[in-house]
Amino acid sequence: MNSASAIVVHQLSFEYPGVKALSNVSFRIEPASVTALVGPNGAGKSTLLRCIAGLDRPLLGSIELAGVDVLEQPRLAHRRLGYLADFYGLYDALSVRRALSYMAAAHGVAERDIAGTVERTAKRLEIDDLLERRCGELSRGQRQRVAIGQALVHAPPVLLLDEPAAGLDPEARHALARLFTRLRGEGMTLLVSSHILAELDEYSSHMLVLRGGRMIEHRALAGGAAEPVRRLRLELVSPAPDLADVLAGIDGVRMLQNAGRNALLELTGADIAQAALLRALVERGLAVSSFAQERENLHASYLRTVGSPGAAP
Amino acid sequence: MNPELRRNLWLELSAHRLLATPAIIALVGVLILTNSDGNGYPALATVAGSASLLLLVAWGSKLAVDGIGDETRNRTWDSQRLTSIGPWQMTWGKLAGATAFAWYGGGLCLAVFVLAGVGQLDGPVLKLAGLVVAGSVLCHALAFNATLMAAQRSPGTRSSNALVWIVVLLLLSSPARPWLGDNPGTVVWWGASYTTVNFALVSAAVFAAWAVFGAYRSMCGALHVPTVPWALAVFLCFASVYAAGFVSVPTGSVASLVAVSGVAVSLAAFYGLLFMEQTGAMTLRRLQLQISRRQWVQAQQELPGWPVALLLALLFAIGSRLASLRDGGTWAIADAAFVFWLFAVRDAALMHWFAFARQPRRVVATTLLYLALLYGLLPWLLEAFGAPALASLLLPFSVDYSGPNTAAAAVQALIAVSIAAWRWRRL
Repeated sequence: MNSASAIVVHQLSFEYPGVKALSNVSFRIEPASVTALVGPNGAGKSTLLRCIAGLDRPLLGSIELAGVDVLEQPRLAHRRLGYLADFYGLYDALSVRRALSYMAAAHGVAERDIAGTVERTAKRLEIDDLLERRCGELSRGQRQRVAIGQALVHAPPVLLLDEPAAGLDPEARHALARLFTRLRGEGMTLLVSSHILAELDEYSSHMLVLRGGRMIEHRALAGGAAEPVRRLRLELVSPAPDLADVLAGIDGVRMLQNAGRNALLELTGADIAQAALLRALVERGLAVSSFAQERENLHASYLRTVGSPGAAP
Repeated sequence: MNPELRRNLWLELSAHRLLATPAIIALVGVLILTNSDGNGYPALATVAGSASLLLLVAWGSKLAVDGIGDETRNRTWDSQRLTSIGPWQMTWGKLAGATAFAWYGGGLCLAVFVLAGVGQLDGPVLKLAGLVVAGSVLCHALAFNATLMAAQRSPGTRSSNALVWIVVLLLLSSPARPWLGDNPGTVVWWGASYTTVNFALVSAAVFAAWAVFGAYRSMCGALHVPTVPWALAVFLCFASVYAAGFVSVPTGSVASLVAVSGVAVSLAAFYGLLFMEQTGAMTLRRLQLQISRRQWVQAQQELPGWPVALLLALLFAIGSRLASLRDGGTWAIADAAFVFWLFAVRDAALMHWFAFARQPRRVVATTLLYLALLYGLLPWLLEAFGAPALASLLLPFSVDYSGPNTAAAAVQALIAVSIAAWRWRRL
């Protein structure tokens, strides 16, 4: 296994009596990424998350989480993992401060550091004004933030989230998206399961598609920072009939659409490759009026994936 | 401090409870002392002793059940399993923490019992107090273990409560007997005579230690910490030797006694584990895969407890037969051991036939229903229709184990295993 990956799943199979919930699923998730785990209801998303978290034992396969074998050392793996279930798992009778303190201690945070860790986590999630209130008194949005606080309080490198925005209002969803983007920026790896694709669109860098317990696709989303392949929208002052010939002479680029003055290109490479392409287009005499990266809509990407011939379960 | 213990203390020992409990106990004590005619201290000791028994054993066992039951009902159990608290820390943190209020209230009552009872009551007050403590730990650990197994088998279950209460009441009657009786008497164990209270105290302490260890092993299973089932085998051997010490028969060597006791103990454990443990198609499928890959350690880690108990019962049955032959073949009960074992195989196969359904539902209840038919209604009907010989073939109890009864038990076991295997292959 590659310990540089945040999550490595190898040939994972899980069965309920008479039902193959997961069938030979393998993938690697790189650090500092947000992977949208998508698929229809019953695709095996929650089962996969539960197996990665060590809550359910798979029939076959192995799981490595931040360098720890989850099946061999589940308790150690949990120190490197935060998990937000679709139900929040809060102790209603405990105050938010005590709930966070308990989770910090339960994940091995040293006694002397617990108070400071709780304060920092509460500030980060903007729940510092709720610390003395009982969890049972909180609104759904507040409970969800406390639950995320519980998952984050020990600063794990990997965070698994199962339907994190279910039942939240638009404002809370947006705040959640900002939080996930920030966490990814801090180097955390997130695997987020949801069947509401619009929710995932704001912050996901990768997409992992499950259907009927099988992994159909796992790839970087166009426009994601870690994406080696990006889509570029090119607009010209006037139509260029020889555009295809011009592009054929440039390495790493391919034309997906051409509508006269407007074309969609696919480029293999990062920012430097994009700058080099623009320079090459201008040097070849094209009057470029606009040249910008186009982020692929997750919904469109998902539909494209499940609609492809190889996607049949 | 153990975080699980601290969390439980936050929930269980509020300032209100800490202050109100001794105040109420003090008020009741004053009431008893002021309303008794010259025998205030013995009366106070008796009431305090009874209250400690009620609070520690009965209420404490209920709280131990809730220590797991509330977590599964409130869906916080997965959050706990996702922490990095180890199985031992989790076990004692929950056992001591969930029952903290019972220990606080019961402990105060027990202190009153000792202070008021020493020199005032006839019995050995300190030993009786020790017996209550050991018996409480035993009951808490058993109740906790039963709930933990039930939670693994079907999360959110409440059915374990009734079972736990039955166990608690049975145990309650045992350690309390020497206390309540005027003449504690003696116990003969392996030919030696012991004062009942001394014997009960040591037995309760030893079995309490085993029960806590058993709870720890169940917690390992719940937290998916891999273990191999050596502890169960060692405990069954220990319990077999312990139980054999009470048997006094005119014939049979020590080996025969232990072997027959081993069959009885192992089969009792087998039935308990069969109906309480997490088992079924997926557990056995994982086990099958490990065996087919010759991954023996992992296979042992996947192995439920009931096959271990069943295998041990077979070994004890073989041992009892060999010992009986060595003793001159005079002990018929050694012959019966194989028949009982074959019936156990039949019953396990029957349960797994139900468990291997594509959508298994209420496997234990359905199995118990069919076992009631096989062990009760069917033999009764056959007797009623004038076929007592046929009826006796359906029961493990017989006067003659040499011929048809053993063959009938083997045929029933074979049929049950065959239909279970057939359904297994169709999965």
